[in-house]
Amino acid sequence: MALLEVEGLTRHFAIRRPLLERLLHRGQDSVIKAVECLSFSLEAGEILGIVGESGCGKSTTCNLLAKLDEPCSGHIRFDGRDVGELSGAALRQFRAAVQMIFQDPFDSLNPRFRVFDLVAEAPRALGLMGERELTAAVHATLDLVGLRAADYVERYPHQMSGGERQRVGIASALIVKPRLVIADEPISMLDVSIRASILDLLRDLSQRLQFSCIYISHDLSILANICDRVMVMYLGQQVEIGSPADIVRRPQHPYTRALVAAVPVPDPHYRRPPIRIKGDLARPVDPPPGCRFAPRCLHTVEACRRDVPPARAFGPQHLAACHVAPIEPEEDGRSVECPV
Amino acid sequence: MLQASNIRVSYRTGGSSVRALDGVDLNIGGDQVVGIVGESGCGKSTLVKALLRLLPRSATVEFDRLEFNGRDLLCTDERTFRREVLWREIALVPQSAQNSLNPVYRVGDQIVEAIRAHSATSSAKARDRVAELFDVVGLQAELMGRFPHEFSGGMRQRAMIAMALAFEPALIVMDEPTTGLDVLVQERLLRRIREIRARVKSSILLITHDIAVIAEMADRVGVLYAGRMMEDAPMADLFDLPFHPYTLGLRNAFPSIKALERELISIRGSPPNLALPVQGCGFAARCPFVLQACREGRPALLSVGPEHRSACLRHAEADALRQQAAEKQTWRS
Repeated sequence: MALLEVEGLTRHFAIRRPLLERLLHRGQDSVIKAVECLSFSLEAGEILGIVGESGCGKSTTCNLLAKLDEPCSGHIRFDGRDVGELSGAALRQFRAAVQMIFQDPFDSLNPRFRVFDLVAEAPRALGLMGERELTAAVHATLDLVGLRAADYVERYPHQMSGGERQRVGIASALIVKPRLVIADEPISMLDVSIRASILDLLRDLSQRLQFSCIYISHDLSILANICDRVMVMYLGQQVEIGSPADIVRRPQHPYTRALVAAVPVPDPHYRRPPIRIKGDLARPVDPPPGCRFAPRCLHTVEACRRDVPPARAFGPQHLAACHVAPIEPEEDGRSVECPV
Repeated sequence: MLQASNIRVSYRTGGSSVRALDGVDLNIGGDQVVGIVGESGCGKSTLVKALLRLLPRSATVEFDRLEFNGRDLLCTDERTFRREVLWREIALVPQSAQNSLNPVYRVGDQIVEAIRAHSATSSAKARDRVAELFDVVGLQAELMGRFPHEFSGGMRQRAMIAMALAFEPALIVMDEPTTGLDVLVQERLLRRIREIRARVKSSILLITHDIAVIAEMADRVGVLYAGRMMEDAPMADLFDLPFHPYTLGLRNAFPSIKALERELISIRGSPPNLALPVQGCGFAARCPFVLQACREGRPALLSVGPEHRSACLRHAEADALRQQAAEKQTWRS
């Protein structure tokens, strides 16, 4: 059974218009449709990447999965139980079982806490263990993330490098033995030369400790490297999901194609395929019906502007939500270069 | 066009002094994109600020030579530099340019003001010029009347480039121009910069931590580490035949969607503390190929190919090192 099952997950935010307009019965309230009908599942020990541009709903999805925010509709089932109905002890258990790793290790660690207290914070807050047991757990967890406990427990965040801080961030997530770790761009603030070591650590530990991971990033090359599957989002909609090879080598949705083509490649001999997309990224405020990518797509048919495309299978694990796909390469050739 | 040699910059902080740049040379030819790549704290931004005289008073800046288009900038006083060189000859697109616009003034007005501050131009003429510049960077002229918050990140970046282009400077310095932009926006901006270059023939000094951006844009590239130039070479040579172990390490650490099966390898350790004197090679503490001699004397930047220089003692074994560097085990111990 899958560890996590998400079905039709939707989160809208209402923006009320100014008081004067309301009093005069002018205008209409807007709705930000941040996440719309997301469905996917996650196996134990699996790493799922979520990629998309700003405003695509990556972070809202994170918050919903961690139950920091409530969905407007849809269900999240964790370990077979509906997360929306958890309360009391079951909710506390869920809080320990789902942990987050944040983007900025310079911001997310309390500067007045020593490493010991940073790592001990979650088990203390959840009342999981006594102080003696806690000391042992903190030391063991620090060793796990590659920091020699004796050298680090007394340190403050400012006495550590970015990589060390992020390891502390990982330790404070792992100490409560989570079954799902949500990592939101955990290496984007770190130097290139040490990023790989944090990725290795996450992947290693997820295999050894058998936790699943949702890895959020805007950088497809990193996701392709660490994830078992990658999900592409556009303005709150799930566009495509598949293995890294499916997404990078056989992208079906026109948006995924454009995204893959735009990824910078560290090779001066690389010739980029043309990026077939028009217009600019909109915000998910009062989006039109149908496929939200339709206004920028060069392959639209009538249905695109009317019906949300259902996810269709293009391979064993590969789903894409497009009315038109598969798009033949020669048909692709009719499209024009986008105006810059 | 620009020749700077032996640039040294130190910052005084409290009782100590931090040597941010330690003897860096920089040469930029006409109609050339020169990239400088390096990690945080390597001195990239200091290099930009030293060239443009934007460093605070707590910094000591020394050059052996600094010439620009035949003019000796070391003998140019502050006022003349600001009046005749900055913006007119060398323009800057600052880091986080997206946040460099004043939020309470219209974007067009801010550029008009910049033009008029540096030249005796009538308001109407300056306005026409801004409309032209907007066209060059691909913004519609009617956007001039808008405020910065009405622009997207990519549009603001293009507005800053428009401002930098105002006097058709011979050199445009871009400090992390695409950091913080979405991939599709970044790709468009880079494409736009290439198109602009075809029209205005300015040289570009591009500073970034993103090797992929450098690979796409630069003709030449310099690899900066701990305030020193480790290797500098024509772009293709640096990728096809790197000499310095740090360059090899960076290449291993950078992901690529064109090599999904390649395992990423990071470089252990972290850069040296520049408040302490760095003896020998700055990379010695992290280098898997380090020799005793590396820790004793600083390796000179030596020629290893046409226009290709590297600062390592083990150039003679470069082939073998390249092979070993591809193994993860090499970088472990």
